[in-house]
Amino acid sequence: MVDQAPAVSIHGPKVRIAFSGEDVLLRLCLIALALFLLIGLLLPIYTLLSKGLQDANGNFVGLLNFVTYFSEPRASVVFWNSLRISVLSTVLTLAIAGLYAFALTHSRMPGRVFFRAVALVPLLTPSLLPGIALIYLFGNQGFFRGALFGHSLYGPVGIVIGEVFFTFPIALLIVQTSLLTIDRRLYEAATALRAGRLRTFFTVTLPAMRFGLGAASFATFTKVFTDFGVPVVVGGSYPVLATDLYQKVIGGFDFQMGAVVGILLFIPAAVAFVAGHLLQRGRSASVDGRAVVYVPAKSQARDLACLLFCSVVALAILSILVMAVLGSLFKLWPYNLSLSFSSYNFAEYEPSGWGAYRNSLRLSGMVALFGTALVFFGAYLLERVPGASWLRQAIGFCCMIPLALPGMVLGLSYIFFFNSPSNPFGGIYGTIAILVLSTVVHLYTVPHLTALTALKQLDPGLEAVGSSLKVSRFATFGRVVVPVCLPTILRIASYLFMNSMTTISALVFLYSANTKVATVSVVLLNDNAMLGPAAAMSVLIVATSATVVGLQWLLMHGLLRRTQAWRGRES
Amino acid sequence: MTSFKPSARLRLLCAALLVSASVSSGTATAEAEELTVYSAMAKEHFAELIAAFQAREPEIKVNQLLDSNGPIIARLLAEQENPRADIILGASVPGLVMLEEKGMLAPYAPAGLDQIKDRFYDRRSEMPHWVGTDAWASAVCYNKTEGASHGIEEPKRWQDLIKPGYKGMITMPNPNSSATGLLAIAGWMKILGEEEAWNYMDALHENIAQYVHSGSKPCRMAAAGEAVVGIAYPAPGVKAINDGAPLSVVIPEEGVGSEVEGVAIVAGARNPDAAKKLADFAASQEGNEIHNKYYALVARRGVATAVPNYPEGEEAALVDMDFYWVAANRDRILAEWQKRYGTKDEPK
Repeated sequence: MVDQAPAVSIHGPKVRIAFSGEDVLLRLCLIALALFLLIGLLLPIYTLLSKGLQDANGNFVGLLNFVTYFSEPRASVVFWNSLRISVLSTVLTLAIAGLYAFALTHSRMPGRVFFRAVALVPLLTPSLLPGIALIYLFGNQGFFRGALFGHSLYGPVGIVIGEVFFTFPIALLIVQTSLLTIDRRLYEAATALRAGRLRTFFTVTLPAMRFGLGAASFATFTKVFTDFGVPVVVGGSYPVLATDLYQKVIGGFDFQMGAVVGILLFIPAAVAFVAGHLLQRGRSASVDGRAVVYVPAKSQARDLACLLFCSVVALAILSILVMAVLGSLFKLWPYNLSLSFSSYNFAEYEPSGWGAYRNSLRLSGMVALFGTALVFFGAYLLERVPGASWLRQAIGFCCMIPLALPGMVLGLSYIFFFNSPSNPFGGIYGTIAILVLSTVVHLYTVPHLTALTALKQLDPGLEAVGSSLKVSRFATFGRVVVPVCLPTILRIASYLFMNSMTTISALVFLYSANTKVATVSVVLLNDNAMLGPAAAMSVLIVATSATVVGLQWLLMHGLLRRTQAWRGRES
Repeated sequence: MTSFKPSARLRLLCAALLVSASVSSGTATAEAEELTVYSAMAKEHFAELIAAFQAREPEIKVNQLLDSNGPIIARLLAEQENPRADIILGASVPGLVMLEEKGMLAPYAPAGLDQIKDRFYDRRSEMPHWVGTDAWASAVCYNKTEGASHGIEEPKRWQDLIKPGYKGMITMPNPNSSATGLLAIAGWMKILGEEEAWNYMDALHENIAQYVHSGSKPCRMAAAGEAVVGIAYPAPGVKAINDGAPLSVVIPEEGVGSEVEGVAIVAGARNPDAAKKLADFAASQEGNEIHNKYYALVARRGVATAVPNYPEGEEAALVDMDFYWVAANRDRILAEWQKRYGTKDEPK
């Protein structure tokens, strides 16, 4: 059902008969996009999958590698460890995020804007940061080490706390959206039928949240299952799949087993991806045109409880951030807590020094620039250009794959694919280009969907009008589509920039002598127990992403006033 | 007519965008001489060497990659078909021997090879594939403040570490990623015999809090009080003492395994001339004086100044190690280690 919506717009503007040079060029662009996805995504994955079925000399051995892997008693322990912490973190995150979202949308507590903003802070941080802050808070010398009741931070305890922090905003955003779309009339009906508060919650609120909770739990689960940053810092000797993969490949140079672990990492994400698709299919629109936005009634007791709960959560989030900042300023933790900036003198601790941070800026800038252009133009080709429908559907499907593909798996597959001497693109291995390519592919899906949504809002007759005025499609694209969609383009660019700053998973396999980035530097600093400088570099990353988001917000406001005036006139 | 211009521009843009992803910045092959150095040295030592080398050869641009021994060897192996590194400046000799046996090292006799002690270069071949810079031995770092607060005494012998009082207080590097970890194990095997060494490690395993990724981490964790005892090597502990941490570095009485760290030129290096210059420098008097700031034992004859706060009696405690034995048995030892201790911390 849902699938038919784009189909209409595909066939809609099919008015041309002549096959002009412009059409040929558009087709070529489409083919180029397909080639990009083939080289950047499909072929590397294929290489990885086939590596998993080969022995070290490249002979086909079927599932033998998997049998070997699981015959080690350690392997199943690692797998179950991963599963255990993922389930536990997901349940905790959902409970906290669910209540928090409820408080934000279904109460009148004061400070909701503030609480919403604080909840999104973890989006700005690399997943290494919560682990580092947790060492200062609850490590063997931590300020609150007593709070763990004698448990060691290093291991499942630390991983779960870190993952809850890291995945909280993702779960919150999804659940919040589902809560916002509840029709107020349902509550009015419940009140009219004299349903009690509890009953209303179980018969109206919870069912409405069902899809949101489902989607949020899939998203959280995959995120935790494939995350590398938290366990590498506070995992101690508690092995999970992501750290095991790192150790197999980086530590033990066992690429066959690395491929096996990579495939295992991919499985739950793939299942979640398919399940998510099925769930979405079964869901018909619950909000129709007559739906009324829910406005919570006054209730002091509820508001007080919500305020209390949100304050505790917000305090926890902020204390992790503040702890990282403080940690980066201590002179010699834990014996000399006077403050200094010496940890920011990175050259003292890491040969790349500030160069790693500069590389991160360069990478993020390039990803934002090329990625935005590619994603937006690609989405335009898919959404607004007629013809070649099978090719466009295939490309559309490929654009969704990165969402399910863990970054570490992508990074590993890039080593296999691009470092093979027979690959004509092998030249980009070891340069910043491979980091840019992997990051653009890794982050592709979300901006792609954002661009599609924005493009769908445009009148399908736009190009037809243009061509009737004998204006080329490219001119229409440059003069109408891009300016109209400028806020979306800006949002995509800032999303790409921010996420390139904080991502670690794919890059940890792909960086080279002169392309080390900030997050990799944090991993290496942490590997050498240089906690202060690791905290300092993480703080720098957060500060940069916060600045970019701030800039985007300012620009957006300025732009909206200048370019989006037509929207105001319309309504 | 007017519509032609933007359209042409956009066409170009579109073509450029799709191509640029695969082309950009692959143009690093400029005229300036470059040198890509991989290293598993201690950071301070490496930085000082490179700075001194650059002062001498200012026209060479050095790209540097520093990591633990395991990752550096892993990267070299991964890039075997298409080497990126020109020279390995400081990797443990068993790792270099393994690379040599795969034909990945180019033989080179640096200037002044006659001044290098016998134990410090590859004598299996006519021309050496690797030349050592310094030797280091296992050691134990002990945090005096934390030890006192937990009521644990400073360990004097390896056997002290398996006493129940140390339970959960010790960290040691994972031998899979760290040459330091492998060295400690090889040393125990030399001292105790292989079977007894495994028994010792079984007992030690009960006291280990964490096996960590890098060889310099245990001493730094001990220095920060995250652990009380770290099994590693002296250099990072000595540095921490000089920085003011309440640490002592102990050479256990039974003796310690030692390892040589060496320099080797990669076969198929893109910049062999610059690589040779660096290899010469590492073997020179000036280079060895730098090694000597961090290690008591260096390759060149007659360079032996005492290192401040370096533990005494290291040279006397050294157990003679056979790198070729370690290189040949590495995989077997690691597999056995992984089987026995790879699942530390499974929730009880």
